[in-house]
Amino acid sequence: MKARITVGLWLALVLAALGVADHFISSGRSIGWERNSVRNSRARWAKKPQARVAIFGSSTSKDWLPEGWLAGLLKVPTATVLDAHINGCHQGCTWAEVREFRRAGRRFDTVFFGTNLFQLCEFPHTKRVLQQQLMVPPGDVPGLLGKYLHAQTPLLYMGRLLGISLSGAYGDTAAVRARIEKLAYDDADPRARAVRRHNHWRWARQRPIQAEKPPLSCEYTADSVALKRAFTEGLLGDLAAISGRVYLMLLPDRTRSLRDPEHSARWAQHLALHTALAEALPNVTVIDLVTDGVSDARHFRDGFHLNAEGMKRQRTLFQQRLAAAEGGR
Amino acid sequence: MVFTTPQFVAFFVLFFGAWLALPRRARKPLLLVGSYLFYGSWNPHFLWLIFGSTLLDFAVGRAVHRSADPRRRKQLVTLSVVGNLGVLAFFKYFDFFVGSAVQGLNALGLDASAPVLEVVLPVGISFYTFQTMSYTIDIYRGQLEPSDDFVDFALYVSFFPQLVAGPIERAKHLLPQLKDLAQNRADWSGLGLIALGAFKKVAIADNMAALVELTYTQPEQAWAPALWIGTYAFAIQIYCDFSGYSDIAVGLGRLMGLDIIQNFRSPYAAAGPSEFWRRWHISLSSWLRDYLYIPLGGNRGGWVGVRRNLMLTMLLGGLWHGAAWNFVLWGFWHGALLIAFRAERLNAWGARLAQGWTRLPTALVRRLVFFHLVALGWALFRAESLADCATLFGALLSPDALAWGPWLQAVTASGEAPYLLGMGAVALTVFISQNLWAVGSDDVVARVWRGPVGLRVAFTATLIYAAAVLSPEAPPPFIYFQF
Repeated sequence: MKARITVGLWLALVLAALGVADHFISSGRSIGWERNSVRNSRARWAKKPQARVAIFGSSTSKDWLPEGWLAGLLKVPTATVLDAHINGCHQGCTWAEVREFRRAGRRFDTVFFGTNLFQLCEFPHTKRVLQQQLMVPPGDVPGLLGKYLHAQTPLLYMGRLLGISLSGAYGDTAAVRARIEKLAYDDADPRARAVRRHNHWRWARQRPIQAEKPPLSCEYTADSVALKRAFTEGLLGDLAAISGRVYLMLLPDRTRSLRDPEHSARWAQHLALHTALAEALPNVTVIDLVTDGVSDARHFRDGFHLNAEGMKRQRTLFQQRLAAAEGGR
Repeated sequence: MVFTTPQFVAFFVLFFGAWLALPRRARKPLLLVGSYLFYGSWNPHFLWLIFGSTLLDFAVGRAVHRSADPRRRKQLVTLSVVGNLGVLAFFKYFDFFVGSAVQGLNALGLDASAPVLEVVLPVGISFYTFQTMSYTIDIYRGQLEPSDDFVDFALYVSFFPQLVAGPIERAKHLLPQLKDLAQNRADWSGLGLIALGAFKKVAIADNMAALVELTYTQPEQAWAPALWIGTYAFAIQIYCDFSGYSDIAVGLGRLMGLDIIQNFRSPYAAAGPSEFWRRWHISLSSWLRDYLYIPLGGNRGGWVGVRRNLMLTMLLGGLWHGAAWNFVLWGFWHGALLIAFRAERLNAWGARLAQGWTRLPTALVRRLVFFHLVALGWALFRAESLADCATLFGALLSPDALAWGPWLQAVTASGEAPYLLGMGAVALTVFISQNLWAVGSDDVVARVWRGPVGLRVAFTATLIYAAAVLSPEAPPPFIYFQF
């Protein structure tokens, strides 16, 4: 009996020590931008409990759509428009976020969610599962596992969910490594850090390796599209349940500037898929910002985000399409 | 499904949960289904291949045992060897041999071309074909009774912990354990081995890979001293990668109450090639000894014969690793080392050296010198082409490798000195620990498991936690999966 108590105490001590270390690593505000994005978004929700309009999705969904401008367009006070976007939050992450809203009993008159073609591509980064694990209510975990079944490697997602549930730091692996790096290299001088980031190869080589990876390259495999479709379908269903009107905004990305038949076919598939999903629900309307939308590479500041001119053009088109959608209701 | 990925963790949690929950009599079908699911997750089409190989050797093994006619027995064992090596030759070596022949003819000025089939290499084929062949050969030699249960034999061939990268098990060791699967009791020290293996692979090998990648990609662009850094890093990477995999395999086996042989025993503590091969990839080196070196004549056959046998064994051992000339060259390098270290003069020189010094420094110097010889071999192993082999050897052995001045300036300009020092400390720790305690992972875990339960929990939990946190975002797969 005494031995068992000793063993139990040892076990408790080790697990407690690991738990403390885990908490220390994963709760620090200086690491883990995915974690902090979720925290920041939650802080915004808390500040606007009476919001009637919400914008969901990633930064590509929100950065061109200021709350004040949208409020003017909808003729509602700015204070009633909630910026619910989270940086890097694609369909799966937004589904988890909306489940949390639904569980909290939040209701809206109008919600917007935007997605582009590249978001049909799935790269199984740990951060995607981290976002879902952070927000999905415990009761919805079986639903999340069901969505993972659509992926090419469902067990990869399930295993990551298990790992992140057991250790918060595991989900922030990249951030933990960055923190170790900062500690090792003395974070005091940001210029030295920038120099090192650009010169890390110099110790090994006399010339840098030339990267040949094309931007936004993706195979758009059937599994990848099926997983994203499953999340979008669930997301639209939940948005329709918490809001009177749902606007699904189809956004351009830089591949829109490519005129080859392969990309044209992919964009057509993107439009058809989302139109079909929207038509299945009575209060979901597609706002197509792809057709006749921004398609010049010069109007993008990177692969997904628009520059000032691109944003202006997109807002103009959005205004027209929203008016048409409102008129057609 | 790589052992250190979340999907394998999820797979094993489900599998082992069922293992513990279901009645003991269900263990065999569960393990067989689990093993085939595991293998099918790489490429389901190749399930037919492993099933065919199983069927062939199960039938041939029984036929060999039944037959009293020596000629027929020989025909049957030849059928097994040809069948297994034929599959291996087609899937692993077809493009290599045809491509090499065409290149050779083109070099002679003959216009030749051949279809390149771009055959996909079934994962683990080199490992399980060696297992099935050794089963039939052992029966032929009268050293083993054939299995009378197809499920037992199918489990022996497809047992998922060691299916894709070994250790290469012998039937006389594993089959009786699989036969009594229902009676086996879990050995929880397997958890310690799994944790140690995961730490070696994820926290050490996967991080060393970045150093290797940067120096070995286009080696002609690399600083010569940096190539030595990359070579040391690869020596540590391949050890931690492969022995980490083996530790996990042995650990998984133990959780099912099965004893899998140890594959590594501090190989960098070796002071010579014979000792190295008794410590490195033990299951392959003992396989090559028993089924290739000894049948070739082994240590009999005179001065020339023994050296021929050594060289042939190592050349084929090199080729077993991969269908490329750099692996053949690596085999040649180790064959040459084995031959050189058999030289009487060299041994006498070593003995004189040992007399002059105290035992420890002499042993350390000999081990350090031999480690560098092994590391040069790893340069050939890691090279991406024969041209790279020449570049690497040229740079590693050139006077430029000692020109540290300009290189240290480059290190300063890169700002990576703390990183390199940190990685160097890790590599040195691995090397020194092997030389201080020249033991295998099982000995380390056995020692921990003799301690209090708290120590076992602390050991396991800390290593797993460290592995999870120190894992790169996109870790490379196990090196030996390509073989």
